[in-house]
Amino acid sequence: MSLLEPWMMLVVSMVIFGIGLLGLLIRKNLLVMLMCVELMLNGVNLSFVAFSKIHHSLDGHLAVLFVMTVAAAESAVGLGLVIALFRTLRTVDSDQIQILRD
Amino acid sequence: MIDYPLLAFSAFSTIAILGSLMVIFKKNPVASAFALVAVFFSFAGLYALMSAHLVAALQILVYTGAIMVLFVFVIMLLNQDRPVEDFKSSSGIFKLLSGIAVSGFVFALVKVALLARSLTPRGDMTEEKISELGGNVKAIAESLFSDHVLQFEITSFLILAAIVATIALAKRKAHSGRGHS
Amino acid sequence: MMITLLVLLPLLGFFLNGFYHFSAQARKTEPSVVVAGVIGTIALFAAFALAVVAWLSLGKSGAWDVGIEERLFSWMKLGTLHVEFGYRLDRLSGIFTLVITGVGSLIHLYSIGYMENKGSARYFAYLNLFCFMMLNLVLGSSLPLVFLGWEGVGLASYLLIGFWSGEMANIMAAQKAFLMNRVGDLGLLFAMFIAFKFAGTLDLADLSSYSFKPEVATAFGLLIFLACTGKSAQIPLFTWLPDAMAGPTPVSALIHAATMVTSGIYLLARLNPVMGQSPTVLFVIAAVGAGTALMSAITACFQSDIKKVLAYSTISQLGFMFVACGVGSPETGVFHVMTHAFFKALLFLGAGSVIHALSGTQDIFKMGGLRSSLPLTFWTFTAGWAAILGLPPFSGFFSKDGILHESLVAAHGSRVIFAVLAFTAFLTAFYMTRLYILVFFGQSRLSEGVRKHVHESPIVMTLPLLFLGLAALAGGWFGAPVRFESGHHGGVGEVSPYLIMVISVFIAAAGAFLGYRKYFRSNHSEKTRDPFRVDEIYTVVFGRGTEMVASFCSRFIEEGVFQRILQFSGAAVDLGGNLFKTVQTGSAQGYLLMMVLAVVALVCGLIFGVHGYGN
Repeated sequence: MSLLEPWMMLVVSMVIFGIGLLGLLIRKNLLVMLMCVELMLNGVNLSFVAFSKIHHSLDGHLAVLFVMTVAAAESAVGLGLVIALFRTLRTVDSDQIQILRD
Repeated sequence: MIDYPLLAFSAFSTIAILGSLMVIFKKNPVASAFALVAVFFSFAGLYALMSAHLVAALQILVYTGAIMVLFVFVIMLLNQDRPVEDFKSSSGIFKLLSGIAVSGFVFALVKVALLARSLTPRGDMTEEKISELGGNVKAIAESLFSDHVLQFEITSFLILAAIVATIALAKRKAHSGRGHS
Repeated sequence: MMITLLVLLPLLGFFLNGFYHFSAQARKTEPSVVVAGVIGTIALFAAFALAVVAWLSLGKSGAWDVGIEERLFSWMKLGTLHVEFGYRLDRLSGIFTLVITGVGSLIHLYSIGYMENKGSARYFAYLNLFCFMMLNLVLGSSLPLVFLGWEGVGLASYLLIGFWSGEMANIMAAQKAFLMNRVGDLGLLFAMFIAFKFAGTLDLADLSSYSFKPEVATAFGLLIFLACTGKSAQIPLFTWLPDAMAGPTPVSALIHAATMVTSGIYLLARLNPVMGQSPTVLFVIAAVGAGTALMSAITACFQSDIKKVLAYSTISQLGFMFVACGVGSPETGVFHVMTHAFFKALLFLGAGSVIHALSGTQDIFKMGGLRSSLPLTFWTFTAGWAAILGLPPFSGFFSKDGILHESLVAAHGSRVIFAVLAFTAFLTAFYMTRLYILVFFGQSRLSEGVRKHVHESPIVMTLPLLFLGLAALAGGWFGAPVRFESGHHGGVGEVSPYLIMVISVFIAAAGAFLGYRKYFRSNHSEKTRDPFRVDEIYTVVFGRGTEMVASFCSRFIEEGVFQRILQFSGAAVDLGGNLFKTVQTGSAQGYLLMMVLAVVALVCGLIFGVHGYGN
């Protein structure tokens, strides 16, 4: 028997999620922020699969499939928004995109 | 006797964590993007370790093959003339607070992960049952197209909506020039 | 469905007249008083015919609990509360129904002559609405339906008192009546709560046979009595009735003499078994009734407005009826309701006829010697006068004498109450004779302009007078046999009814003689006075009192408390706004950080927090 256990996967997934969150908080580049969102989604996916393993169920895998679809759609729309923003404001700096505040 | 799964897990997880750190700390978005590719590949390995073969394959296909390519294209398309003032612009207190918040978050989540050690299985999809059904892929497919077919169809609507939205966003209006929208 | 039809006929009249009013208004014409009046009168007369049929179908048993019940539909179903929408006609409600529809149709007829074209459809619509509501009140089988009628007659009364809304005084009188009635209505509402809470039913038949705990019975009885003092103008809520005379005279006759003001008696008689469970309630009813009777009789002696005299006389007679209910003999009170409806409606209509003849003069010191110029009015008024005095064989003799007798011999009767009532009867004879003499006898004190136009009223007005005169003459014989066969025990023991008869006739004669001596030859004028100054006292106590409370509130509570609270909360909001403004940076990541911090706090709370929360 291997010493590898699903909870270790959980720990990794949580750490990746946390790193993604940190990146989302400190980075100003919208592109990188979107990447961080992908990181967070991947962390969640990993925990889905790990819990699936723990519970002897395949539902987690199905959830991952749906998350992937949503992630693909999200990044497509997100990148489209970034392009549109860049076209209007000539920047992808989230701190300079504050038109709603004024 | 070498514990190959544990060894592979250590390698993949190290690559994943280091890669993610590079994603968020590299100034150049292109470097971030390539670090992200590495993270995605190592995730595929982790999935394979948990015998989630379908998910591992889709991870490479969807994330590395589709999403990352999209990112790289956009980076090239934008061709920023001014680099983003990334790490300098936010204040020290903001960074500190972010650090505290995220570490608290991760701490809490890891606590949950450790709690998961004491969980007992609820389902009946053991390794043996899955191989009996004809493997991971077949089992998931049967579940997806019978019990979860409605969600599957709804997902197709979501993708359609995303396609329409993306085209509407990215399409340059014929009559208006740059800077107007 | 006879009784339902009976109730709905006036409603039909109300709708027809209302429609007539609006269609006339749309055509920019005045509705014809004859058309509107005929609609209203026929609706009510048909109802009267139905009421007679229904009454006859009750049989001759004379038992009070025999009745025709008609359940229409289930009105309210809330938990354990079941209220049926239904009507019930038994002896008690039958008498009231006959009076309402009978006297009502006569007064409708009279109104055709009395009213002008202007707004007449509206007037008859209101009058029909009143009759509909009044029938609901007396025929309703459950307290909520009675309450519907109770409020409805209040509304109709308000509308009719203020019918001539051109003058501010009329509007104020209408408001006064409405508001004072509200005080009493509150009592009925609370009584309903008590009935539901303790008896679990609002059905009148069930409620009458339910035995409450003594203190609950007292509370229930006193609240019902409060309601009755409002509607029936007893102390302390009686001052609205004299002011209500601002309405057209037929309205005063119908609503404020014959029917609506007697609804308190109806309720007391209907709930008599419950009232009887508490001697305290009975005592209060009798005491207040006697006090009101005496007080308003004294006041009536000092009035110079013909309608005001009659109004105070009404209050006084209502006091008699309350005494009858209070001493434990409500059937005598109800008998007096009937005879009083006849003769008081007659007196009011007679007064209306006089006022009509004199082009609106109401001061009795400006009348006199009208006997020859208004013969029909004079003779019918004489019948009313004799009836209220209690001269045999007029109707008032039987009922008033009955109450005097009961106040002595009934279960809760006493000598004091008898003495008060006897003195009141004396005063009644005095002030009614004063009115009678000043209006119809002696020298004419009319002004020149008025004298030329004096004329007897048209036939539509004198016909009801004749009918009511007959009723005032003979109405007492219906109840007379009941009077003499019933044996009562309690009070001060057996007293011969014949002795009481002799005493009461003697008292009446003495009062009348005094009035005759004082006013027959006299030519001097008296000013209206209110010896008790109740209105002034109410103004001081409630008006000034409210003003003082209000100024206290405005000075200390408003400025001291509310204003400070408001200023404080304003400052707090201001401070909070300034505080939170700094958070609104417009930076998406700032918001994200706050969100993450909140989620961290929540997750930590879930994990380390309360036991049984995170699992």
